[in-house]
Amino acid sequence: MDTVKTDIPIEERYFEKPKRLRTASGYPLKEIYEPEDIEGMDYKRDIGRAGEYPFTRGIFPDMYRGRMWSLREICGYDSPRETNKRIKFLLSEGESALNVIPDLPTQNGIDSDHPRARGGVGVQGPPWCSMQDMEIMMEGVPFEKVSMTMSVYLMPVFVFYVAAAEKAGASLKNLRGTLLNDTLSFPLVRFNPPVVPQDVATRMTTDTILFCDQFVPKFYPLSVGSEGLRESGANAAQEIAFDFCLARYYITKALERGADIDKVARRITFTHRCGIDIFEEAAKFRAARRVWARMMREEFGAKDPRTMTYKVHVVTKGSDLTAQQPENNVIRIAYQALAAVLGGVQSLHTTSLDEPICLPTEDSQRIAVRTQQILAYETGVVNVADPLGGSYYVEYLTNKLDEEITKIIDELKDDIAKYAWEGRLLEMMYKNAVEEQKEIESGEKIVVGVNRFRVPEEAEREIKVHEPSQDAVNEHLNNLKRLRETRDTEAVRARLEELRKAVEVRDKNTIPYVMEAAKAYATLGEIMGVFRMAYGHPYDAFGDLEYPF
Amino acid sequence: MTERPKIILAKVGMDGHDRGIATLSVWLRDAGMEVINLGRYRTVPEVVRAAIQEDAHVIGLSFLGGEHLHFVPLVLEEMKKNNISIPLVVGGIIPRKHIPQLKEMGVSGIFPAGSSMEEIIAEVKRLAASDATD
Repeated sequence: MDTVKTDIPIEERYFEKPKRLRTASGYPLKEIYEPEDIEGMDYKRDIGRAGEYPFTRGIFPDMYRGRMWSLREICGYDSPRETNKRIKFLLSEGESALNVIPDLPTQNGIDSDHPRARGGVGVQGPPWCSMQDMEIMMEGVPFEKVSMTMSVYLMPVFVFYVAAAEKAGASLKNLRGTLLNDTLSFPLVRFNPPVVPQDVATRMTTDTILFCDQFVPKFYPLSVGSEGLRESGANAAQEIAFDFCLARYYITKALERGADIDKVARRITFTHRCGIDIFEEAAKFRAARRVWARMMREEFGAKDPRTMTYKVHVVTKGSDLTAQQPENNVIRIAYQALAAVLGGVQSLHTTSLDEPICLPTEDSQRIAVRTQQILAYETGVVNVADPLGGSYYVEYLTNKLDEEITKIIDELKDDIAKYAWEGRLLEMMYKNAVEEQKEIESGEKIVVGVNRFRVPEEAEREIKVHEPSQDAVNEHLNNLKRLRETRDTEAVRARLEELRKAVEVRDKNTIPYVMEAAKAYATLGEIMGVFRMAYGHPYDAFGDLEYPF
Repeated sequence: MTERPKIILAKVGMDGHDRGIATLSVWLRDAGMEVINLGRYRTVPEVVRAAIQEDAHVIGLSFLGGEHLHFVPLVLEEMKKNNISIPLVVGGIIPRKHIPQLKEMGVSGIFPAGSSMEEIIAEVKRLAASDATD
């Protein structure tokens, strides 16, 4: 007779109790929360109505009744042309905003024909080497009607987009979207410092903030989100605290150039992750709003309430997902999305079930879009602002996270650039990641399908995998080759020289010069190289190329 | 084997997701191995040169950006060119359907996302020992 195989004996399972009685970040929990756990809390001072300082309950009085969150899926494939197809697919499936992440060479500021780019072109997203790539990617997509997030840190890419929009007849003042632009995160997330040195990074970010305030007023010029930090092991409080410190750094730099706090900080947004611990995550977003409002008003003397509001785009946390039994990820992602919406976020990217395996296929991305639509249209979560407000537990957790975030900010704020650049933050992350892995290996933290409830290898179902199209990549490489041959080389040279002179005047805004260079079809690598040279660094971060002009 | 097993860990190419090798470094060290983590942004010749100079028993590469099918053959070719035949293992975001292909190329161990540390350590140690006795 066959015996029933179970991971723990059947008789024990009946009486099984949860073992890990802590939040995802490790804060110990009591069995129930009561009024004394939030003693001393003042409704008006600490919570208040949604839309009112300190914005704990939300940044708008009517929250999702006034406007749904943006359904913003990250996409990006193979080449600008393939990405154009996926953009149109997502818009036709009911997506309300766009979010494109380019390939790794672009993220590192090098062109597709750079020797180091080999193997990476088009693999993780489309390459954006020049304005031409933006023109191809946006063909048939109305610039003024979509909101475009460019998940990249480099200002020239934003300029390619703006220049392509202008060429297509759009007005800059109608362009909506976001540039990550959080250049200090380079060494934190995935970039080595030499790719974009700190001085160049700071200049590019500051110029974008100041330029958008004047000329592209509906565009968010900076979304602080050392996103990968959370995936690398940062806990909820660290994630918020690190990014608030980084935001403080950029704001301080812009203020040093004579900007007004209510002009620079009003358009700063954040990109954060949402993990699977529903109450801790919802409390995190509530606490983040309170801490940010306090910082803007008390520390920086902001007057405009819009400056005090923490506006956040959320990506559901990929490192909570599993490669085993990947269909289960649909459920995990739905809980993460629920937590984000209970937390009152403005924009949401639900990852796809195949996230731990490959780039999303159309099928998996459709499920991700549907996950948000079910949440928005069927569950009723949109009806009332801050539905968790007043829960003893959630208010306790909000206070706890406020306290932790504030403590970390106080420790790091004055030296954040140094911490980021010297790898200290990363070391802290990895320490957490090792601990988390230990909890999984020891079985204290249960991950379904990984350390419990596994299926045999042969029962793991094959899922459809996205394979990059080499033909599409080759077409792009040919386009780039032709561009270099056919553009007006003299004009490119002249525009780059003018740009170099502008960069050398440290308080001049360089964006109008980058715009002219972009219109002459100067490439990303060339523009980055000119910035590097103007700050005394070699033209090519990897030492493989010489300045061609 | 009297010598401590030694592994070179690295990421080649432009992908910077290094939580995996950073975590694995600590675990392998705790398990008594000598770990040289070259980190991210390494080139193929750099990795192979390090393996030779350090007299390593295993090379471990981590890919989370989808570049494994491009770089693995280049690494194996570079190893061959330099006459080293130690085991190469890879881990990260690797679709199940690529596993046979990678094995065919000559990769000795493949650890897709979600592999347990215990499993990785046991296999790496076994491979290191088999190299040392060769």
